Amino acid sequence: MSCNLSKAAFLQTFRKLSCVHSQLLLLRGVHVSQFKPPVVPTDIDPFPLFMEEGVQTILNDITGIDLKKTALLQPKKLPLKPVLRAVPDKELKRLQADSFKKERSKIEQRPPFMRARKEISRELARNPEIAPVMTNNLLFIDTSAFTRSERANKDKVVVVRDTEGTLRTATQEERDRAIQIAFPVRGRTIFPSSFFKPENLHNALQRCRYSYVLDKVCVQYDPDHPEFLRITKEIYDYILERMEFDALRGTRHFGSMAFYLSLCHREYELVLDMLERKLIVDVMDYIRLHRKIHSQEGSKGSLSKPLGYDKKNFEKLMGLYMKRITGNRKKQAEKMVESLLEAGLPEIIKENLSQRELIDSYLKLETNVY
Amino acid sequence: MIPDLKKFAYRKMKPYPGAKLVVRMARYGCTNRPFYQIVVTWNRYPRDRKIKEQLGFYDRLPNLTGEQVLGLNLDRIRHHFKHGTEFTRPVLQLLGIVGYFPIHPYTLVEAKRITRRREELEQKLKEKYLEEKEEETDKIVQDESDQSGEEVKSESVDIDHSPSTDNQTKTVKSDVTNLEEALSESITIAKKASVLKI
Repeated sequence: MSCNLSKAAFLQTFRKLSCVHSQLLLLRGVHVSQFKPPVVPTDIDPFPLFMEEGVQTILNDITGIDLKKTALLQPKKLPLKPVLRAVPDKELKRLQADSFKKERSKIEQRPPFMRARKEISRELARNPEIAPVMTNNLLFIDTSAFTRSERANKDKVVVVRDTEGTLRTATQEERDRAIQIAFPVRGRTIFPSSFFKPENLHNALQRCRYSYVLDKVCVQYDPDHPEFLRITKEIYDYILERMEFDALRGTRHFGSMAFYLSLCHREYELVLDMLERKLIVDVMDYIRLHRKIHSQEGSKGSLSKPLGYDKKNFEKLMGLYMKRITGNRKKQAEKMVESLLEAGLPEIIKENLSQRELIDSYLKLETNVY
Repeated sequence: MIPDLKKFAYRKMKPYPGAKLVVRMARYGCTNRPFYQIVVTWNRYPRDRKIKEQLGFYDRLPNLTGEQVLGLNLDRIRHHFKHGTEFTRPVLQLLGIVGYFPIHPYTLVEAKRITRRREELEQKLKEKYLEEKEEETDKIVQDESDQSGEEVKSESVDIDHSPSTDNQTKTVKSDVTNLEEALSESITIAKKASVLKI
């Protein structure tokens, strides 16, 4: 075996893996060279598409809410003592509704999918007569945002006086450093830690700590930082290769991953995974999203209205979708659909819808806290 | 009607007669590691204590990326400038370097001083180098004259003097070419070693 996990670690990861495909890959221990990493298209501007309301609601519905997983994923230093309480039914509902709302608010803080930011630096003044005084560059940041009510990072003034005497606006790296010095974000380091080096990242990913790593990346970098894009792309590609989408389902990263995959025309694996887990309503929503992203109107085109979730519309959508797939995949997909139809589509759809209604009812309940 | 002058009252409140507000640098940090906070205080108060308001910070020593970091609350500086607080020279110099104020004349004076010191250093090193070279050439001449002197006793005079003259011309030419190289090295070494901003 070519993977560098010890015996115990191997067993641990094996148990954590959520699908057969990834388990097989781990057992084989062979680097799959057939995997082609997805390529992000450059003609579509992803950010305005991502931030539309319709898209966001679809992503919310697809991720769902999984309280067990989030309870497992919380990094806590000391284990808390369990609190036992006897509570009437109404109170119980309210408490559950509180936790659901908290989860949903966390999931809605998903990192947007953006293009890399551009380098902005222009000259403001030239004073070569000062050059002998400047032994080092002087990095200046305007801290007046402390006295103003709100100021986005982009508006903050960061300026550098060179050793040659030229006054210029700072490069993006210098800006990041200066803003972190004056307006520190908790958990962010000024110089990137060795956690984000490829070897250490790979170590963490081998142990299936996807959302842990993604959370750390979100804390350290802004979503339009080129390092952020590189690392998230690596992680999403790793998950794609192993088809381990269930690891992120219920966290805030599932939506951005789904968006990224459908942008790069690699949504097929996700669709298959959803069909296997019998999440047919999710499939329908996801295919609608995919068609919207790749429609020729782009961001101006509106999302098709959610027709009733029933057998007819499902077959219609799947038919439209399968026109684009060819060859082996088509056969696979058709097999899946047939098996589902045999197993009884309408009941499965009813189950999924009832799940969604449960979540909606909890979210709509009036509580004091949220 | 008594006008509402409460908002001007804070300005009138003085801790001691003849007190003036001043924007200046208060030195914090540790021994051999200065760190300045740019601060509004009354002019007679001790340098680091009893601050009215903090407007910024200045780290004179370069950090890992070789930069000196300065942060200033320009809104509040503008406010204090409007209301006539005194700004000390170093603070005004910094503001000029940053571009918020015009460049202070003292920075130009400093720049001139530094260039003058550099030139003096270069001259000194040149002189030293030339002196050393002269000593070396004198030594060579002496050695060769000793050798030639010995040989003169054994053989004729004309043959022995010519090689020494050739060597002298060669050394003069190589002096000119090597001077610049050696000077640049020594200048860089001197710059690094010097405490002054050269």
